[in-house]
Amino acid sequence: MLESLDLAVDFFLSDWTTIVYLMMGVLIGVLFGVIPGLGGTTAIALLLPLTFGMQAEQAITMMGGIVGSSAIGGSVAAILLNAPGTAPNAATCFDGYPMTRQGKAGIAIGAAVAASSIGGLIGVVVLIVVLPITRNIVLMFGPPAFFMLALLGLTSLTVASGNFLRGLLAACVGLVIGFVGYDDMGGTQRYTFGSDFLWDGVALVPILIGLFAIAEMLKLFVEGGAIAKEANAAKIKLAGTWQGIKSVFSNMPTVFSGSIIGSIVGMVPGVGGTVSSFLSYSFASQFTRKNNHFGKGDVRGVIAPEAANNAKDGGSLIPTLAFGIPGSAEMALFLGVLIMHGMTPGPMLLIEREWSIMVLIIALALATVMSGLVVLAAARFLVMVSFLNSAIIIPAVLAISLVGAYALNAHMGDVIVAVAFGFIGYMMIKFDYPRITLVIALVLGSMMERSFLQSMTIFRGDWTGFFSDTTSLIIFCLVLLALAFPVAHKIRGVLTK
Amino acid sequence: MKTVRLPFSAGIIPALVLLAFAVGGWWIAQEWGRSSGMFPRFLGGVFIGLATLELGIHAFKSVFRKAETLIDSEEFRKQLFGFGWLGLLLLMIYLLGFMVTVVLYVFLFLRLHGRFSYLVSTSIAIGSVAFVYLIFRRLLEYSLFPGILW
Repeated sequence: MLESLDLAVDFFLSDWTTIVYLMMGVLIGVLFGVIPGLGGTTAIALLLPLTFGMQAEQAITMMGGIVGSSAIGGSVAAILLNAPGTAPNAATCFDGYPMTRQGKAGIAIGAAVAASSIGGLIGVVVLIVVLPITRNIVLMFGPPAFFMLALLGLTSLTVASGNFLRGLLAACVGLVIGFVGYDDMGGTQRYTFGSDFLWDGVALVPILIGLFAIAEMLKLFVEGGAIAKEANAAKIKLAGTWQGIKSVFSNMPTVFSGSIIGSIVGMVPGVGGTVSSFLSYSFASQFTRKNNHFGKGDVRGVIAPEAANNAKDGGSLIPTLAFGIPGSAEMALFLGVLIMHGMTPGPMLLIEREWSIMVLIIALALATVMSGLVVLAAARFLVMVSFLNSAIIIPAVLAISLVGAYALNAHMGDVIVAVAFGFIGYMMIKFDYPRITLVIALVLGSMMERSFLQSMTIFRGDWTGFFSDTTSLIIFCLVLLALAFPVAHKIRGVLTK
Repeated sequence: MKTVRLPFSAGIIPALVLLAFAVGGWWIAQEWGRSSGMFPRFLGGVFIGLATLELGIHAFKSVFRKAETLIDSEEFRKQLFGFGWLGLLLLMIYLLGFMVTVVLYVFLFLRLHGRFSYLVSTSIAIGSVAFVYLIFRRLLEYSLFPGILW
């Protein structure tokens, strides 16, 4: 492991362009994080095509920069505009915005930046500690366990999406799209309708560009005006950031509890950042005895969710890298980057490309610190982006998105796919169908089918074999638990009433 | 605010589309062999069941709870315009290629939809095409679709 770490450090030191790519990722991540509704997922979708010509490690460095920085960017909009840049930043609004109204925006931003950076670093430490153990655990997994694991990833994400039935329907659509193309196991062309373009299946990148970048632009077009609609740019004043940073060091228990909650929750597929930051916020508000002013502008109400929000990145990389199970839309896109660069997530990745993983870990650690500095230096200017008329952002993002979609295979078919999925993505927003379950199903589909067929071959067609394999049975119990959770929650709600 | 009233729950529309998609997928999968068809056929069955359930829920709401949908005419008009602009972008790329489209589309969008001045529209259009040219053509050396008209 130390050898891999040395190699990774050398990689950063030997080529200055790697640092440039990281810085690019950080700047773009912060910028997209600040703009409410866009966030890291859209940034990765938009920049995916730019990485085609890069070395795999450079690509994951840039994407690591985005992953590690978008959450910090999101906290700026949450504090100054009461409009969370990304969903997990919503908990920061509770105390961040009241602080802005009290003229303490600088303190809140300083605290958010310091808490995010420390939380991010703790998340990275957790990743380094847990990853070697995970490798041994993953090696114990056979096809039945992998099938159940994919099922768990899908189920927990569908449950977390808020609308179980529509989440499942979106997952089914994702799985069906995943079937398109030549099936090398059975030697059949599936859903290709005689088209050569569909022989290799529908490429993931144009779908992601459509579902996230283009759909968000259509939404913005219909809403119109500036992104930040209810805030006043002239009233934003920043002072006291240093005081905010110091307040984090005087509230270290809150930082640690938030970071640990974030890391653990991040490891569970489908639960992700929003849950971790809200959990951390409620934990801090319940267990703070002294001067508890949560909800009225307490700096600990900013520290707790921000520490959790950034710490979850390290945790969520564990299932993504070790099992190929992305825990969020951002991780699904990140998985796409890995696959595109010939790095198939799973146990072999941890063995064969350990140094590449180390590159990612260093990139994440550097990104959390660099993005903190960027936000401190440019928060006031960054937030101005939210006051830009959406008519300026929309055509540029649409055009660049389609250029990116085309660049993948130099085929107009990919452009049409991106536009079609832009329409589908918008419709999914309108009719409240979660896009994330479609993407996760698309990513997990082939692994699910392959491990299902392998398992059926091992069990000679007897599906009860899934329950004779101990690991598979344990994961199946977790699937049932994930399914039972919302039902139990509803029953509890009814009984309480 | 002008609105149009639909006498049913709007959720019926995507549910019907999904049901048709599921049935079509399942039907096609019947022709495939055991290995290629097993999983799609199984999934198709589940998909049809779920889509029927979703359709049933909305049908029940529409018939027994008299659920209806109010469509804001202004929002609907904006949606059509949004799809129109997206369709225009696709058509322009096909006819004129990427480089010409980026500059022309950004300019037209800013001028006609955003009502920006000629100066602002031209500046942003040139900035956008410069970005595409520098990053995709020069730095990454991609050959972009030239369009069928040239």
